[in-house]
Amino acid sequence: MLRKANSSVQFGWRLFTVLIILSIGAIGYAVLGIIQDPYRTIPELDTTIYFENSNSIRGNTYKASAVIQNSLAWSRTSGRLFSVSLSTNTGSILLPILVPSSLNHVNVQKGQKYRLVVQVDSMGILRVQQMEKV
Amino acid sequence: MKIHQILILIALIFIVSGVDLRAQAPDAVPNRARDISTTQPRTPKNTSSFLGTDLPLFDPASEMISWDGKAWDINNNRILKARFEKYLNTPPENSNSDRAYHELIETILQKLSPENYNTKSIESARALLSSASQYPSDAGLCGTIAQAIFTVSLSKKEQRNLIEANEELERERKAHEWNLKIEESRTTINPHGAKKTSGKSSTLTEQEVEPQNKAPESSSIAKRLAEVELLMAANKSKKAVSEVQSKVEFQELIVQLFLQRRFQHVIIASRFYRHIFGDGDTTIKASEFQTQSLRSAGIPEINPPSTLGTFESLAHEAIRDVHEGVCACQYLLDSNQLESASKRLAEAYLVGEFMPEIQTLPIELKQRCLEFTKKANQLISALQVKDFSLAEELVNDLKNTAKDFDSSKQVAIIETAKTVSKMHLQAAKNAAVSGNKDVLEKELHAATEIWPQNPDLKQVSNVIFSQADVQESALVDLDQLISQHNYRQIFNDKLRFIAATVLDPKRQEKLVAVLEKMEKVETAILKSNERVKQGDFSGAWETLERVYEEIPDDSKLNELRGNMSSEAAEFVKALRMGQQLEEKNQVGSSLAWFLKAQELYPPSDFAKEGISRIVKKVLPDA
Repeated sequence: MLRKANSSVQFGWRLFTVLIILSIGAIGYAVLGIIQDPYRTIPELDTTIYFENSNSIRGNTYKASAVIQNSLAWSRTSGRLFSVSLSTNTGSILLPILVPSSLNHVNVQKGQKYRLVVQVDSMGILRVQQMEKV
Repeated sequence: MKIHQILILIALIFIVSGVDLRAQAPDAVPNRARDISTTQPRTPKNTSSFLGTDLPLFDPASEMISWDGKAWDINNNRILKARFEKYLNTPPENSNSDRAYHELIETILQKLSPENYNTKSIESARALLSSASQYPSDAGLCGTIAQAIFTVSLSKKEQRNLIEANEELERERKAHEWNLKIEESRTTINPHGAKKTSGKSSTLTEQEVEPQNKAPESSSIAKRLAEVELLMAANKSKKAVSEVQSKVEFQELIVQLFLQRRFQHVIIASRFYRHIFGDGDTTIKASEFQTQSLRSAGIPEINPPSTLGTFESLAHEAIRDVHEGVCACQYLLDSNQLESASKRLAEAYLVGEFMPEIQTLPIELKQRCLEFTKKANQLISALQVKDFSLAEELVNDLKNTAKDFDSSKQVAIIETAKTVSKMHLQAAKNAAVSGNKDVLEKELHAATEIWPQNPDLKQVSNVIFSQADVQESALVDLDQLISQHNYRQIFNDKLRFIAATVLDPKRQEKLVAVLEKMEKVETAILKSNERVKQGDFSGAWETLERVYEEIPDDSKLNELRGNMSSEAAEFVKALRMGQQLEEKNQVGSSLAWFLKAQELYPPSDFAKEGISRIVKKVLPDA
């Protein structure tokens, strides 16, 4: 009888210990991510506002994490226009981004995921200012 | 043939005149006849030819009689047809009375024939005239002949009285002449007084007593002598006039009988004439009455036959001709040649209406001729009124019933009229199609004139005129529907409007444009339906939307488009948002929506076009 009581106490402690460890790991991972995000000071792009009226947020700079979908156009002087997929609470959406010619050195291909810093230009197009492959 | 023509002509003249020539006294002479004989200039006549050169001409080929600028068809004269049909419907005169009458006439003719010629036979024949005149078929003509003979006998009695009176006067004349001679001789012997030389005789005594009365007595004798001579001359003249008058009257009777086609009576009368006037003079003495009678009968200034022998021979010829005509008719009827039989019977009837052969012809034979004649007359009437349908039926019927019926002329007339009428109708149709109203009216009028009863004429006219009404109505409807942009209704009635605008190029152009649009709509609807069947609602909507941009007023399209909008609501909304924001120059948002639309329906042309437009704005040099 005594042996039975001892084994259940041990199992509870073991489970608690594992949870504590996992929590500490998660917290550490999050803290690490925050610490490692170089654009953590830049606000996330609100796609709802963008869809409704992109002109209203012209000049603003946002960060976004997006997956390259299609190349829409290319201009030697103006750059490249892509459609990218952004994950939102309601699902993924497609948005156009303009990769200026100054970033021509970045090889952008379909399926690649980038961490982007974009600015809404005068026409309401998301002009990429910085992009970092994830 | 000439005699035959003359006989027919005489029959025609008598029938057409329709009255007894004796009733046409000079006062009753038609004005036209008087005008012909008095006012119209005439060329010199060839008096040697029978009836002169004014004789109406009979053309055997066309069976027409031409005279004085007019023509009569002997087969198509209303009066002739009526009389002939009346005859054909009359039962034959086969009663005992009729047979007795014909036998009596034959007996009279036998008694008057040259081989039986004697006074007893003549008197016997004369006695039979009264009996013959009692029969209705004779119409009292034998009685008229008997009266004429009696009149001549009275005339002859009068002439004998005149002869006797002249003989008495002759004796008186001789006495007066003797007395006058004696008186004149006494006056010459003692011109101053006879009492000194001789004085015992009574004559001398008278001379002595009344010497102053000698000259008046001589004068009185001479005067009486002259009176007697005058009376004798007057009696001679009376006798001559009476003789001539009686001859003329008898001759007039014979001519009258001849004109009435009573040929047997002509022979009877002429034979009596020869007996009564036994002087051998049978020359016709044309009286004023004869001339007027013949003129009133339509034969002006003719020279009648010169002798009674001519009339008699014409009468014999007529009798023979009628007999042959009846025989020919019977033979032709036996061989079912109804046309020829009817013609031969008509000819025989015209000449010898009162001949026994004609009067006793069996009703069965006449009915066969009547049946043919009625149809033939009906055919003539049908051709005259241009009822070629009826004429064609009658021709076929006649061909079946009469194997000798020559339908070539009638068929040619009918076929020609039909062909020409059809040609005019076709021309009218063409004119109607081309909108040439003048030609249309002209051709319809021509077609109507040629064949008024043409069944196609009515049909074509109805079609043309109803077509005109329908066309007018259709054009009004078309204008109204175009103004309402109700292209769907125009498309539904496209055949009607296509037909209506054939003659209207401007409307036709509008109609073509409408129909082209509607074809696009219909094609889009078909494609849309196909895509719906595949579950491609976005594609179906897009197909309809593409046409809607061009033709926004079609109800059916709009209805389907509305249905598809609800079926592909998200895609439609994305496109709409993209388009609206594009209009507001929200380039980024617009492009985002187009991309969304493309994501929802990758084949979308609208999305591609929208993206393309925006891209052009963003990267003009791309």
